[in-house]
Amino acid sequence: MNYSSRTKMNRGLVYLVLTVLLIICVIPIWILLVNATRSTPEIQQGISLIPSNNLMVNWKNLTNRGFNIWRGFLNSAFISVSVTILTVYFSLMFAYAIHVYDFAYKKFLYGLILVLVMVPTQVSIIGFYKYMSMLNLLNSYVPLIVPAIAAPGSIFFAMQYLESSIVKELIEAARIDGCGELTIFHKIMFPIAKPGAVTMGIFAFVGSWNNFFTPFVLISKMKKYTLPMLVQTLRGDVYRTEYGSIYLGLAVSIIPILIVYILFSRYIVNGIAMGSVKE
Amino acid sequence: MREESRFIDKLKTYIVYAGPTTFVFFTVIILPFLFGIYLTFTSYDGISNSHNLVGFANYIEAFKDTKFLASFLLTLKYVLYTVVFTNVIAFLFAYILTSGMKGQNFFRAGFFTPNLIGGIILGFIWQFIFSKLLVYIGNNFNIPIFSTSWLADPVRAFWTLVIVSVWQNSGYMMVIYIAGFMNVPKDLLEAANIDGANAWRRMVNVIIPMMIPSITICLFLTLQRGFMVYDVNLALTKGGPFKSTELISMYVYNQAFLSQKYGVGQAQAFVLFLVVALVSVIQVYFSKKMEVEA
Repeated sequence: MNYSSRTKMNRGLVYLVLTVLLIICVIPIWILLVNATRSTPEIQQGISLIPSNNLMVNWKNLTNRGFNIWRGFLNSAFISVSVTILTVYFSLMFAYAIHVYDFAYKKFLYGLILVLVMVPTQVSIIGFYKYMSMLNLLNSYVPLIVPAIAAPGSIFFAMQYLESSIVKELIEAARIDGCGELTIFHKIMFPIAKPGAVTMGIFAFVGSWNNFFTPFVLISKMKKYTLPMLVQTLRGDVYRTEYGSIYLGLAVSIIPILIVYILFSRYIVNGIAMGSVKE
Repeated sequence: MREESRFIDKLKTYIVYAGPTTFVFFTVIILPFLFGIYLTFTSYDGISNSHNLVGFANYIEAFKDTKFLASFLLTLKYVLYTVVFTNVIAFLFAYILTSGMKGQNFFRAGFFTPNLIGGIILGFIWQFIFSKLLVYIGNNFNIPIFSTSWLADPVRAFWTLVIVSVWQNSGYMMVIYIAGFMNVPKDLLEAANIDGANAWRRMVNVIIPMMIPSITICLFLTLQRGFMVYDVNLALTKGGPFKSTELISMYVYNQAFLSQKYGVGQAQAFVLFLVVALVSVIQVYFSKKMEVEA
């Protein structure tokens, strides 16, 4: 076997392995979408990778059982969009400040954030709950949205990202040209950080959209339920036998995320690495 | 005088940039966290309004709890496997998908997809896969290992958790490793090539040292996610069969909220936090030390 046909074979093998792995990654999601179009007996009988024709029946079953899935959809969308905007803006701002200015307690702040990323929700949730009930904020979206201003995970990411992409000379040059500090942040840093910002935004959106635990503890009014909470009630009594409808409910809750991802995936797969003018 | 005005200037910029975040940090993270720690020294049961200080009683009870220690050991095993598998797989994906092959962005996007699905939904789909799809395949193609549901067997149920976690997290770590690979200076690799270094030598002596920052982040994230995992555990195995797969987060949660032993559960959660913080800080410290400049 000569050299070039061997590399061709190797390459073929690599593609084969990658394709198999790709199928493993996507097939559970595909099964979910397919099951949303199948009837309950069909699902219980076995597996199919081809959509069936029971979608409308499932939809009727899903929407006729006393709760409004559109309402949950809007609730989730409102929370997730607000969280995304606040997280991206304030995390970048905080990370930028830590990078560009020399604070006396810079290292301490960095360490503090590193530790805060590790605080399990379980440790602080009761304290948070008591505190919110004191402020009369139970069943309100404020405790779900405002904490997004301080998201240690995003700040950690933003600091890592800015470390590789921020050029101090650029900022100094802007200062000498008479730019105000906030103008520098908005006009110079933001465009440079855009790929990182989009990536952070997607993570924030997905995280908030999928968040089950916090709303579950804080929200008790059905009208204010988020989508994952409704999905969880789907698994309760009324739907126990309606597998098709349950899968449709699950499908409805992941489709927005798939759309956001398809629109922005190029930022994720390239984004983190793309810096600014740095060579 | 000048020193003073400089200090005020700095304070002003700090308040403008970091003020809102610092304020929210203190009110929504640090205060409830400290309050939680305070509660570990009380007889609080989660419901009543009054409670007494009990000193270290909760901690003593926490360490006397053999189920807690068993769950902790299981979690350590789980963390070890998920951290190793996730990082090795993600690193290999990233290596192959930065080699300039055709369609690499398509593959990257595909491998990342599992990360988009939330824990509750994830558990539901994988339950279907382990108890229906694999059993179906096992019975029809005569593969004995799949012919009964993995979720019904304590040992295999543990592995379902590892498999699903690795499946979910590899894509995320891959993206971070890809960024790392793209930051390895090309001229260094060329120089190594000219010096006659083969692929393996280039990997060990050039690429890996340049990738330490990415490895630091990925180890940190996988460690932290591993210790904290809750929703996959809840939705996939619910801790079963026979409570054999109750990882530490779930154990602590059940202890506090279901058994009403709030003080003990909270004390155990705090011990968990200390262990995670210690492990992570040590890991980050040593990885930072290994970093090199190009």
